[in-house]
Amino acid sequence: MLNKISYKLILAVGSATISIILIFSFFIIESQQKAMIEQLEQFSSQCSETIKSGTKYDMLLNQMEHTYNIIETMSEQEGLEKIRIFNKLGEIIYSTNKNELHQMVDKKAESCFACHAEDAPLEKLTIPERTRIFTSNDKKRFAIINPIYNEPSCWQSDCHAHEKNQTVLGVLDVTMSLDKVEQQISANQRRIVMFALSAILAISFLLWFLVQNLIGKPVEQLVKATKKVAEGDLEYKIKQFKNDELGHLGLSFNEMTSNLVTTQRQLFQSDKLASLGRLTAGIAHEINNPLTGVLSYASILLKNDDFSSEVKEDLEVIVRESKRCREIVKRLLDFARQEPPKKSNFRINEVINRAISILDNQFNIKKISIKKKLAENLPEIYADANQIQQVFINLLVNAVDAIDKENREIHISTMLRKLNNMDYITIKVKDSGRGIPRETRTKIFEPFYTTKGQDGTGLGLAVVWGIIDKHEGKITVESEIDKGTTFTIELPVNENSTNKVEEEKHG
Amino acid sequence: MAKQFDILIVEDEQVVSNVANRILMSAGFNVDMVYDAETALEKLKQNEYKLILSDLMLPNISGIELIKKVKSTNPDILFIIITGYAKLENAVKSFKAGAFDFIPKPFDLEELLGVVSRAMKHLSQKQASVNEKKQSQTKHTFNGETGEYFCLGEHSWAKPGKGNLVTIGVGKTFPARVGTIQQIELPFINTEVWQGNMCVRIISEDNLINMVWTPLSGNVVEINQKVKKNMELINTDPFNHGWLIKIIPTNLEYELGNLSRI
Repeated sequence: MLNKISYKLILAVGSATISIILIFSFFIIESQQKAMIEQLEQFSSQCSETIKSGTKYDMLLNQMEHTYNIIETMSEQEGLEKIRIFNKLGEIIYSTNKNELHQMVDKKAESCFACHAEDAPLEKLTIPERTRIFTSNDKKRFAIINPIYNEPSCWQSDCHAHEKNQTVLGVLDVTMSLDKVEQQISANQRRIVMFALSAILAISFLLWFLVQNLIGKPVEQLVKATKKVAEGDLEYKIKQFKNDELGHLGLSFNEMTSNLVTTQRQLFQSDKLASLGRLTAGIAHEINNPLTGVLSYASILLKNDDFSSEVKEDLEVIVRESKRCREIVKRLLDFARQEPPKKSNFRINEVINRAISILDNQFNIKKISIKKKLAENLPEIYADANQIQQVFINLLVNAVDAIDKENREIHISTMLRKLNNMDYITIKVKDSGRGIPRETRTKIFEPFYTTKGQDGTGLGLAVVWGIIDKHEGKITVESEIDKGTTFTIELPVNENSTNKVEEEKHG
Repeated sequence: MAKQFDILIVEDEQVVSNVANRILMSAGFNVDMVYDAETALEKLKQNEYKLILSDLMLPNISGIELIKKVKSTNPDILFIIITGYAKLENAVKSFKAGAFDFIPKPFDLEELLGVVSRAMKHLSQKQASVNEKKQSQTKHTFNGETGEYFCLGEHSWAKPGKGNLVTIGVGKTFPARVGTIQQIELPFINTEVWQGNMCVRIISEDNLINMVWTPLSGNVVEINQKVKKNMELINTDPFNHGWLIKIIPTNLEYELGNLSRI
């Protein structure tokens, strides 16, 4: 299962998207958290400023009760937990938590450090420098300090509580609860994680669907087809194609198997013819001697006048039939003797015309008209002209024999065709005869298969097949009962042949 | 003691040699019979023969070798080669070695007697012409030009002509040896003939069959209808008007090598 391309692909692309989404969500959560803290800082600083300026007037009048009341009221605001004021020495002079009153704050701790480190002079601090986040009683809290600077109105006030040379009079410390913010942050986190998970799921599903459709199914079909072909079912074809590389692969697969079928058939036929040739030569040689005995003795007996005419008639049958045997052997040998082609350059159309002229008489007698459609400017082919002529004679003779109806026509055509970068000449011989039944169509090229009874040798098409095969050509047959038969021959235009069309045009 | 025989049969296949013996004896010939070429050569030292009827495929020495050996010492002995149809090419070659003719197996009485009596007539006519005039050396008299004819022994000839056509006819001496002709059987147009195979049958008055071997392979495209009506043409004008068939050869150059040019 895990060995399938589609699963591997889903696994690879899936884990990549998952990690991207996870990293992405992590950064989103991070920045959101940051933004919320900043917001809080802003809010708390505003709060603290509001307290400071709200209590300023009462401070100047040194109306402490009033001041504390205001602070008390403000501290009731949601989120505000504690408001404290320290004096310059660090003593808590006021806190909404009454227990802390008059305690000293550790200057080294909390946010005092920002100003009091190494006795550095007090300066204006930025908001983040004034804030701190800390945990007490298992609760996260946020605090901001706000120094109360000395102003002329402070030391000029009637209470004379502050000296002129003081810089900082005290510090306002506002502590806020982080509960709400924390809740919000974790809600955000949950939302983002949910989103990330559903995105991952959606992407995985989409990926699975696409991979299954674009790769899985076509590949599965190809695998199935190769298995079928491997099992010997060469007729198996892939039926559905997508317009992509896998579709092209499927098409070429089909083409490959159909080529395989033709090649296999041709090989089978060549092999059969070759072994048949050897067999016939052997048998013919062996059978000649006994046949000589039969034929000669019978012909001797036939000369003997002592026999009655009845016996002589019987003897004549023996002579006749052994002569028939002799003819069969002879035909077999003629067939087995097929020689290798003696090749030269020639024009196919000329050979066709010659074959037609040889048979002219027969066409006239049988009132058959020949319709030629021969392509001009065909390249010469390099082949055995006599053997090729024999092919056309045999095909035309068969066509003549097949025609038995009104429409007495034989069409013969030539054309140039490119196949796998090779030039082929395609020749079609089409008759309007009775056609060949489907079940005998595979047998017609077999030697000694004939439908002409005593009149046929059953070798015509076997010879045609042998010749075309030796020329590395191809012959196929299409036929429809009562409509006619078409033989299609593909002959390669070999390298040895030169195209003399141009030459001829100028000459 | 040197015996005189008409015919020596050299054939390793008993049924063939026996039947040939029967046929030839019944025709009145004086026949001797051996089963291999070695014994034949031995016999030739002791006895006299006019004609040797030899198989082509003999155990040690082949028929063609036998012809060469015998012809070097006894050039007057005629050879007729017996062969199966499978070996016609070799049979054709035996003409070059000096055979008078060949006969393919299986044969019948008329065919065997046809070729043997033709050979015997050849011998007697040759003897007669030698006795008559020793000075007449010209073997063939041509009405045509020499150099155009390719011959299968004295049997048949082929003349390549215009447009890839080859004319075929019988040799000058052939009809003379046949005697009075009763019938000439020509092939049908369109039949394929092979070098050394029968293309024409000439049947003599006494019903003997004389087979004419085609000197070249090819497709028959024309037959001489005139010869059928006027059979004497092959006797009176064998090289011109007495031609038999025209073929389109299938293997011209190679097969011409098996023929002798005159």
